[in-house]
Amino acid sequence: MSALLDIAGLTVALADGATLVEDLSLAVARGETVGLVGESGSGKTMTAHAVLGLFPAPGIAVTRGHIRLEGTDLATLPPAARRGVRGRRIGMVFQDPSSYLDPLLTAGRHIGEAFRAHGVTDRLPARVAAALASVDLPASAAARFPHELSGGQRQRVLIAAALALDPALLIADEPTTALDVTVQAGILDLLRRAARARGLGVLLITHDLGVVAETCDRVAVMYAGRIVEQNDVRALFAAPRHPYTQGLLASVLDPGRDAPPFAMPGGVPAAHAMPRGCRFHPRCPLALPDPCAAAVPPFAGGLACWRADAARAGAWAAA
Amino acid sequence: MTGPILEARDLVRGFRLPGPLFGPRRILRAVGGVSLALAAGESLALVGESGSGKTTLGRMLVGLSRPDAGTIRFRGEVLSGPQRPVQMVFQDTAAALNPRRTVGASVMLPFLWNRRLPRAEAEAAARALFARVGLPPETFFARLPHALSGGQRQRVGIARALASDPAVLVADEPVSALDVSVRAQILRLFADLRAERGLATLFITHDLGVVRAVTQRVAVLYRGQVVEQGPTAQVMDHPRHPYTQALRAATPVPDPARARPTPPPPPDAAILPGCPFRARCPAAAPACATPPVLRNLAPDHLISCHFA
Repeated sequence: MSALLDIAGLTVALADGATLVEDLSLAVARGETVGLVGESGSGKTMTAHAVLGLFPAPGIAVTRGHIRLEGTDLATLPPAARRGVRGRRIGMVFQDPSSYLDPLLTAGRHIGEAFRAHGVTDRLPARVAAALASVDLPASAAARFPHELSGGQRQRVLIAAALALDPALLIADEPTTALDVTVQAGILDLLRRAARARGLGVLLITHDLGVVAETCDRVAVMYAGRIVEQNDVRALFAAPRHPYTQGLLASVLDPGRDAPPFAMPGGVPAAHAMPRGCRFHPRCPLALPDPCAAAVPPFAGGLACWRADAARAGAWAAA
Repeated sequence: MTGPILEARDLVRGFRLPGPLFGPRRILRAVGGVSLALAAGESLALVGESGSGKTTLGRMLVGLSRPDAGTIRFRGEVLSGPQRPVQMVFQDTAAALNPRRTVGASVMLPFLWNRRLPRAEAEAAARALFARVGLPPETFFARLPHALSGGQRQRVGIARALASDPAVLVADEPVSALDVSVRAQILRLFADLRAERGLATLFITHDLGVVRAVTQRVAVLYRGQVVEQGPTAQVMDHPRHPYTQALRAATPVPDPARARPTPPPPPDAAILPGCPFRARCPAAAPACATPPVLRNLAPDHLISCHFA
């Protein structure tokens, strides 16, 4: 089997050795949408940066593991080839569409730029119109400036630019977080259709479990730089196995149900203050001094938990 | 029976849009005649999408913005300008605190300036509030805002609001920037404070899950007007206005077996006369060219729709 994207044993660290992502393995197949879920500080965005080969600050680097796209190890590529991969083979969409659009460029210029950056210069107006149509925007939108577009329309322009060169993989980092729910549904629908129609692999990074439930085929849950659970989306939501996943699902506020908000104690640790052993153990109701606080649980069978048997009944039942 | 603690009547607020140098300027009516009442100790949600006018309304209620028309009364007296008993909690915790001032000093200020306490007493009172909102003062009092997490900063924001000993809190999206596990902790804190201090709270939010978790009543705002108002459980379980129904249906649920329908996208800014929701409404009819008035469906359930 050859996955479209194959990440194995990835570790991303700061210059002083503190790890932001540790020993992460994840695969995305063609036509598949994989959700990477976690709270801030979980390392999910850092994982995306590693795939793109772009880190937001100096001193952050991949220290172990490999990232293969269509069989090629990205780390071995020279910088120019890596740039070619970004945009051409990997498309990117981010949370805040306004900050990724130049206010002085029209939507058409912006999408055209995506083609030009990769040396495609012929038939640009027709290509731009086709790109706009693929995200359900009229060709007339090409003449609009960002401030003349709504938030949802801006995100559609960014998706059109990201998909312009027909990449194999799309990385979408919180693509709907800044949008109203009524607009959100349309954007997610668009991503689903693109994955299906183009055989596009999508890595969807989000903290919103509702978005995951309706968009993804598989889900990986991250906590403090590590994947703690990974499963098919239906299985994960029907029977979450890790205490953290169980807590996250219990924290979702359902407008259709009267229930006091459930709160897991504590918060995500900082990169320089990672607990020993299982990184979730200080917050876990099932944690034992040994092995939970002493040794890192191995990731096996889609789960990294020493207390898997005890967690089966629901870790938070008594809380 | 006492009257409401905070009452807004027919509030109107418009903003001038940038337009041509000469000729008429266009006015955007952010809030177009909203009336709301909040009882002592009550928790009311104000719900709507971006652009619905909910933040503008909240800013008027705390006196940070002046209405073009309409009145706001606190315990029956007309309010003008910011007042000690009505305090605000903001969404952007980083922007709401002075980055150069320790969070302890920020919480002391209301004690020093509003309540004229001597410094030592102000500090003791501020430390007690830190403990109350779940921040051990010996660890957090002397820190600068950047050295706190978003959830911790929001606790400071709440402590600062409490320092004025308010009767009403207006909280504008207080948890939407926070992670899910922290969000629940902060919502619990709001619920506890309301119970122990009899604080009336107005929650401004776009998140119907938050509405259900912490409020008793909800007012749904669309383009600056209340379109539906009623008990939270009733409005969430049996929404009557087509807009409330659309919002409810669009809320994602963490269940892969239940796909939500894709609602019609909001139209461009074109504003038709009549019902403000007309251009988006699946049930729009010729009658909707006449603006509906807010009427009682039940004694505690208001709606503004010809067909509900």
